Amino acid sequence: MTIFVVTLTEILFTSSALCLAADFLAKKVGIYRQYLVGLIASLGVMISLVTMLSNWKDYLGRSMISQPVSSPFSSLYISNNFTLFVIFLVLVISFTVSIYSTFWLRSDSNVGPFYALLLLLTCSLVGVASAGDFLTLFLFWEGMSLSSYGLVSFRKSFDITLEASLKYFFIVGLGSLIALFGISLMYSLVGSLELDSLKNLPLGDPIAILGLTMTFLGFGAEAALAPLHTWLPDVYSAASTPVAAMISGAVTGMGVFGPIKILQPIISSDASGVPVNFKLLLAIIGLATMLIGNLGGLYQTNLRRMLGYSTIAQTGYFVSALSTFSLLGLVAAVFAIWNHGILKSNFFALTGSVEEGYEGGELNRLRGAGRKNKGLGVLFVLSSLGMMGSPPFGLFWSEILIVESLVMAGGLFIALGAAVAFNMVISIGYYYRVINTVVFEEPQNEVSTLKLRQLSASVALLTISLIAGILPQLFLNLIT
Amino acid sequence: MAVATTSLLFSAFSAYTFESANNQVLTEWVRFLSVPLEITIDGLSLLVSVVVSFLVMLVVIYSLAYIKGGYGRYYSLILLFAGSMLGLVMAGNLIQFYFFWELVGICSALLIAFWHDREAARKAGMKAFVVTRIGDASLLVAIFIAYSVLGVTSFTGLLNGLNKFSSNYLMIFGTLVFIGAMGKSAQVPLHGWLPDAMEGPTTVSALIHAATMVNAGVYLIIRLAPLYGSSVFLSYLVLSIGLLSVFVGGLGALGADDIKRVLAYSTISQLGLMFTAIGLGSASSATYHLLSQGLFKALGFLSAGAIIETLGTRNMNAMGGLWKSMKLTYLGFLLSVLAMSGLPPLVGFWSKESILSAAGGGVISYVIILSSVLTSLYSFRALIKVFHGKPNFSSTPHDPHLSMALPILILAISVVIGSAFLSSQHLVNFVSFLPYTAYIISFGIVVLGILPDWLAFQLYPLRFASAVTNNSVLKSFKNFLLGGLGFDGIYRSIGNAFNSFSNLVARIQTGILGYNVGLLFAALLLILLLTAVGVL
Repeated sequence: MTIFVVTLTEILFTSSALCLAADFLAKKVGIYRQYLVGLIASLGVMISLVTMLSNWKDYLGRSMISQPVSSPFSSLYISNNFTLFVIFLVLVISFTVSIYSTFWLRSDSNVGPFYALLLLLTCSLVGVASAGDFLTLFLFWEGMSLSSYGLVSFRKSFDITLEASLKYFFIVGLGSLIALFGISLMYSLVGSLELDSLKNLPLGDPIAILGLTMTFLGFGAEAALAPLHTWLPDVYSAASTPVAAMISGAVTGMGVFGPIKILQPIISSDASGVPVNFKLLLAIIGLATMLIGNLGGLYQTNLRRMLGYSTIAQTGYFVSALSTFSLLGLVAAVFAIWNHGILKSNFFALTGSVEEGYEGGELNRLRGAGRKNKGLGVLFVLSSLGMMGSPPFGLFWSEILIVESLVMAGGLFIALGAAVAFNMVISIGYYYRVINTVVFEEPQNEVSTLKLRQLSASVALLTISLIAGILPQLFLNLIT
Repeated sequence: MAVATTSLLFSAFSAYTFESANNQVLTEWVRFLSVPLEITIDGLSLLVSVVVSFLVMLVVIYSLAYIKGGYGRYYSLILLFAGSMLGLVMAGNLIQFYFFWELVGICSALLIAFWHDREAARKAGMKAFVVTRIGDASLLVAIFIAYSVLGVTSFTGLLNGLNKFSSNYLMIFGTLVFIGAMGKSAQVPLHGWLPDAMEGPTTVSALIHAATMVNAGVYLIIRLAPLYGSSVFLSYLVLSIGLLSVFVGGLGALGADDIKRVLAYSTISQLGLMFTAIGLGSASSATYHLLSQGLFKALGFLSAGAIIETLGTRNMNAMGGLWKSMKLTYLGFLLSVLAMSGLPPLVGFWSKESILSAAGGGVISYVIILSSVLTSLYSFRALIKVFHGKPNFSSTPHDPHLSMALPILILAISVVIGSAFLSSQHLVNFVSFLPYTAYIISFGIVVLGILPDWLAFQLYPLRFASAVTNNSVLKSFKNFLLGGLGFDGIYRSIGNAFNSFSNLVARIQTGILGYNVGLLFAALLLILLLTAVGVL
């Protein structure tokens, strides 16, 4: 039986090709190129989203495997609560970004390739989320990385962009290589590429743990785990706003969801065999990542870099939850990836809508912007509060769940839980500064008037986050 | 807006229709954590929510004249605060409690920074948010420690299951919860945000930073009082932090020149007294003091607000002799000061006496009496500096308009008759039990407070001032008190430590690609090494 996620990838891939074709035609017409192509791209994502929503109920609470093409390696898709939830996140962000991009792009930019890459990225993300074996996972993973490089270097006339994308390419590419080696190590032990067969992984064997660790490290480069985080602030500050929203919300989250997919079969069968030292290694990586993220962000003067460090910190929280090797930890991490994705891409959309007038995201240049424009101010306050993990936003509950999963794991993990809780206090240091600078201080620069439509993306995403904060059970039902 | 708030008040009163100890579950809120959204009505939550609603109503009426501009922001935050505070008070489980606990914190921080043109106000908002969140983080961990042991987060389930805790876990749990309460209720060393919070509008200080939100920590500990009674370590912890705060707050109030800072430090001190009461094992007298402090402190703040509005300054050195021109405000502030010093029959007297009787005549009761002298000393210092002595201003002060005068009047009346209103039955028993020496001691405390202040600030103000400036020891002591006993320096050095950590992290971020790839290989090598050694 073919599960609908396969259809999703097909729809998205086709729309990606359609965007190129439409751009070719629109070039002849000349005007409104970005709107025409943007419309096609948004329609493609919207159809996927509708397909997703109309089928979701039937697939809820079931774990299904599908093999659309039979091959010697087997090409498998998998559908369970986690994958569907993350696909939902990807589609929501992609939809918002594709609409948002029509305001951001100019008619003389490379509209066609941009949307084609955006949809290719969405397609790969859906593929990574639903891959059922290592081959599919790796192929889509590479597709995801490749389209991300393309998107990051989109503003190719800027040196800083090229430098950032080169860094991204090197580190994440090397990461994939290491992950591939790790995968092959695990394959040598299990004899199958299917992710589900990992439950037979002999956890007592050091080769198995080495394979797991290398895969984690390799995929972790995409998620910006310490010490592989160094590319992230550069990329966030150099990429164009819609791309940064997409990467921060969906790609980085997927960098953690990849390892989750690998850990899930192990955790749901029997995690008692996982060596303590491996758990500790993950816990240490988590702790280091969140500390580097939060301390690095504390005195950043550039809003985009600050958001980048905040993403690093959040990744640290996710990995900490994973290090418990418990089902609760998995749920907490997935819910946190989801909530963080929504709020962080919202923050980038918001930053992008003021950058037109301020350029570059230097926090000082945004001084008082939220006072001149009240709507913008309210959005900045709400987004910052949301990112601090305050109620009533979704991130509040996911951070509660992370702390819960850690404390419930007992022993040293309680200390890690406390570390997560206190790290959230450090993050207030920089997010509250955003409120103070952008909303409360005396305006210094002339503000170009904002158009309402530029803020609409932010309003939509914040509303979703608010719903998740006030009625968390609505979303928790989908993953538990 | 006032109408909306009044309806809040009535909704709280309508709760009287519930039988006592009622628990109504509104919805299964977060089934995953088995957390319902619920309204818990028992004697304690009812009492506190009625006082909260009452004060919100008065403060909103007062704000109609006091707040000029920014109405939308102000009233929406005040009402969000009121709703969250009621949600907090009526929470039957710790998760719901924490949810609203965070919300009141946000409202508090944003309202402190309400006049955001001033840098001091912006900084104070941030300081309040960060310092209280340190406590919150600790509370969050505590909640799940309880959950991991008992599998429940409800207050009743928690208190029923206390014997399931091992003594170590009980100690850790109790300490972490108490750190949370210390942050919210401004106890030493997490108290530094409260004096700075006075940068906010006086109405906010009266409502949030004197009468309601800062009580949330005390409320939490009262709810969990059996926990603190069950362990000697915990009760001593609460007692000692409480007593420390009583004196730090009292000395801070004695040194402050800003009328609102005097009141803020005094709040720290009074909250410390409530914790002292809990530490002594008498949660009921802590509740009693919580309510009476709410009334007389709100009265003090609202009176101070009237002065600040007419003179345009908070500096007590620029006031003086106001009693002639501001009779109503004088009455309000005087009653507040007398109640704070514990003069019978005002509310402060009864609540302080009940704490004293809980101390039961031991060493602690002498310490409490000493602290009361300190209280009396700093409150009369403020009163005399502001309302007596020579005027130090050129404008013509006047009593406030009706919408500000009315709340002051109502609060003044409730400070006098409040005890009877709050728990008449309790009072009757208490009065018959109270020895006459209690009255003598209370009068003595008030007189001990008035006399030195009268000498120093009314009869010989110049001689006293020159004595302080000429004597280097006195002068440095005064500056020490004025600087809040040096706690801000500690905060600053912690901030600097974070700064240098942050610089360290920034140094890793070289941006050089070769270096970054090197890190990747170093990580890989480390993993291989760990596997080879056999650690992994």
